[in-house]
Amino acid sequence: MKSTVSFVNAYIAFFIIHTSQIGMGILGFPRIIYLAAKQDAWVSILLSGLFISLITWIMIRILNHYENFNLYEINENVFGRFIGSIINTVIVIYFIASNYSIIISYVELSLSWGYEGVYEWVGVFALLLVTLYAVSGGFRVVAGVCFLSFFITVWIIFALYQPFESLQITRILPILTTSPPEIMEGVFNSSYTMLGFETLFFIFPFIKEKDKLLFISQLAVWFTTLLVLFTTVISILFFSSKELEKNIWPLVSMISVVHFPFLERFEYIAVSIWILVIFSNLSITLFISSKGVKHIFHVKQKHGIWIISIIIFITSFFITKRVDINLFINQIGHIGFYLWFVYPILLYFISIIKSKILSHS
Amino acid sequence: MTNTTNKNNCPNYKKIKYILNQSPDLLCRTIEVAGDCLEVVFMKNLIKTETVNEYIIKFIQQLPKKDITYSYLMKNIPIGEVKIDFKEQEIISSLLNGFVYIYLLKESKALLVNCANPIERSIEKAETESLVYGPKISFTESLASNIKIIRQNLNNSNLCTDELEIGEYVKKQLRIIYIKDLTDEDILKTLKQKLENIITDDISDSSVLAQCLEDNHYSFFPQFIMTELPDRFLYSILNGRVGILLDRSPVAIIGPANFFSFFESTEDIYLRWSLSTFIRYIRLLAMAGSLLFTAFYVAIITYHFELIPSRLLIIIGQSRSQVPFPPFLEVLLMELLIELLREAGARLPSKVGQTMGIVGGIVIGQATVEAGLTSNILIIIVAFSALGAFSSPIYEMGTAIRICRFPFIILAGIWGLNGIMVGVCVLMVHLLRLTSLNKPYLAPLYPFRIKDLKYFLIRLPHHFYMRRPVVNRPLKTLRAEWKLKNIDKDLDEF
Repeated sequence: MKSTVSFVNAYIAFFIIHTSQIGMGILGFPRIIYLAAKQDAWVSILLSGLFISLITWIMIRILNHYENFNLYEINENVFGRFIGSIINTVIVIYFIASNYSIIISYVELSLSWGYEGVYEWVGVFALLLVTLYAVSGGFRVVAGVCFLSFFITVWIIFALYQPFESLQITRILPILTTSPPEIMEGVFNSSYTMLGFETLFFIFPFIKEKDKLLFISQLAVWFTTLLVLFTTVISILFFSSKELEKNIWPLVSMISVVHFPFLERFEYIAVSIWILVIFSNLSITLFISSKGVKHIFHVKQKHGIWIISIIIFITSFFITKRVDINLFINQIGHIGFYLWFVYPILLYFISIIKSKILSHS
Repeated sequence: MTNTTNKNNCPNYKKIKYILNQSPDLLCRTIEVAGDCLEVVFMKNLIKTETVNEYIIKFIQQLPKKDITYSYLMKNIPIGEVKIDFKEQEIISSLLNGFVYIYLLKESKALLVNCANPIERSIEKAETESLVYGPKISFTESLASNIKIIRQNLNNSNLCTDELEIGEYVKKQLRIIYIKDLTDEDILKTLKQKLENIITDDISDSSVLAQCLEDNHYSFFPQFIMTELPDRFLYSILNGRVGILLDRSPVAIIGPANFFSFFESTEDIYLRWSLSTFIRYIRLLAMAGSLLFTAFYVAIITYHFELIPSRLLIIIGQSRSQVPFPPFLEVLLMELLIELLREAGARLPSKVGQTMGIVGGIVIGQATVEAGLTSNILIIIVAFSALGAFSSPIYEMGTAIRICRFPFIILAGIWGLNGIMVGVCVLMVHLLRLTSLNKPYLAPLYPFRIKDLKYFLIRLPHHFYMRRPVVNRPLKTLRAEWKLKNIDKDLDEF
């Protein structure tokens, strides 16, 4: 089994972790965090970055302890087959749900930016098919998708130089007046956007130089944190307080200021290019969830991806309204918070205690 | 005695005539020298008559009686290539390749001598891949002269030309050409394995062979470089690739190929680095434009005309005001029309071709716009994308891009810009999944090899190319080692 694993270089982990963190969340993120932490949102982001960096360190510790295991195997190893399988099922459902949330929120976004008369299922169907094609190529292709989509999309940041002209520095003042509970609520609410670093738990066995991974994963999560910080601060400086509170996709609205002599309304291009951004999210979540399905139910991964895609396609008819999608995403954010911010710490201590007990006996 | 075994193996004229279905071309000249009879059997049209007359018939007639023996003839016949140890099947195929069969009736022994007179085209300038600058010589249909060209240009003892035969009905010679101490053995092994797996009655051309060797048979993209330029061939061989030459085919196969090698031309090395880099980007941009421009037109006009700045929008609106079709149909119509023009231009005899090109291009183009069937903006876009597809130095890549354009137009019609992006995703995944001789197709980009980017994406001055590209895993990476003039001098020093 293990000999058929295809290895990739460690630097690829940077792209996988970073691209699975950046996705649909960041487009609406400035509003969500502004609602909680007001103009001190940047403190929340930095705190959450710090927190994530700490958890990534813990994850590396756990993974190094169990060489060449992914989280599914670790769970079974620590908790036994039965409880481990229950936790793994929760993880699989989490990944399927997050894949689902990405697809439906993207299709909703694309429909609100043009495309009158296009059915929702066309979008869902197209995205699912592309993802299936990518994932059926195996881990090498999924990693390649993350790598290439990063370079194809990263230049959008530079298009933000145009909104720079209408920033008002006073909007971020007064500094540090928000109460700590509100800032902590901001950290809590930022989970959906910042999640994605958990992929490290699953890609670890595929990486060639495992000793470099701590540095690279830290680099990835801090790069993401700074990127989120940058866009959020610019949004806060760009929009007035009331505008920002009402704008569901502040980042997209901000990009709409960008125009070139040959191109007006740049946000249309940005929204379509965002497919490439979410494409890497979708591929990696489908890959991980199908791997979990294989692990729990002993279904071949190439069949698992079809089963999951069909489930997502059918359920995509149920949630179509913006309000429902928001609610759903909030739920995933909360579950994700407990699953990836709290659970790794627990797992770390349990595994330490267990190994201590084992070494004593 | 060995004679008995030989007796069964060597057929006489009658038997050969029977095997060759009483072919009227098969001639037999019986020579009698002092009581001993010899049969000289050959195919009339395939041999050089003078050689047979001078060096076989005349030579044998001059011999004294004691020398009319198998062993003497074998050693002394004044012709270069002589076959002595052969099977019956080989006799027939050799005869059909222009050999002469000399059969000694007394000893029942025979030998084959080469008097072939193959039809050869003279070596000419390359037609499909034209270079502005650099050597103009091109491969021909004859394997012998192709090998000659290669040997003359690359006189290294490690240049291997492994011989293979392919085809059951129509046997064809095939040569695998590589440099022994450069080429990775893995590549060679995969290639030989693949060649062994091809069991077929005939291979009509090297392009067919290349398609049989591909890893993914359903892909739109060529997975081997096909070239008729020896200098391109040699350049690839020297970088650790493997080449294949097939007899009777003027196009050589080079593998493993990667996506970007289809956009480099040997001219890039001959010209100065600045221009070459520029041209290489022009090619890549033209390719991307050719692939996406018409699809963008469909997407933008159908779904998001807000994207176009208002001044431009007025021009486009005016030119489209008469058009009765939706943009999708309009584009499809024009694209098909231009493909038709291209195909007709390629098929027509060259004398009529030019006239028809003018009629098609100018008259039809002008008339459709004036009749209000298309907008003239679209004519510009379609013409640009038709030109862009030909910018790849390898013809096959251009055809792949022309075909890929249509799915993009359809996707743009269905889901606008998002459809195009879905198409880009599919293309990206497809290129990621493709391999050529088990080597990744998107090689210097993914898996990322920063040192190889200078080979495929840009062209730097020559002193940067001290090492061979690692994508082909050459056994020896160091290519050159020459030092630049000392530039450590200060301004006031000499």
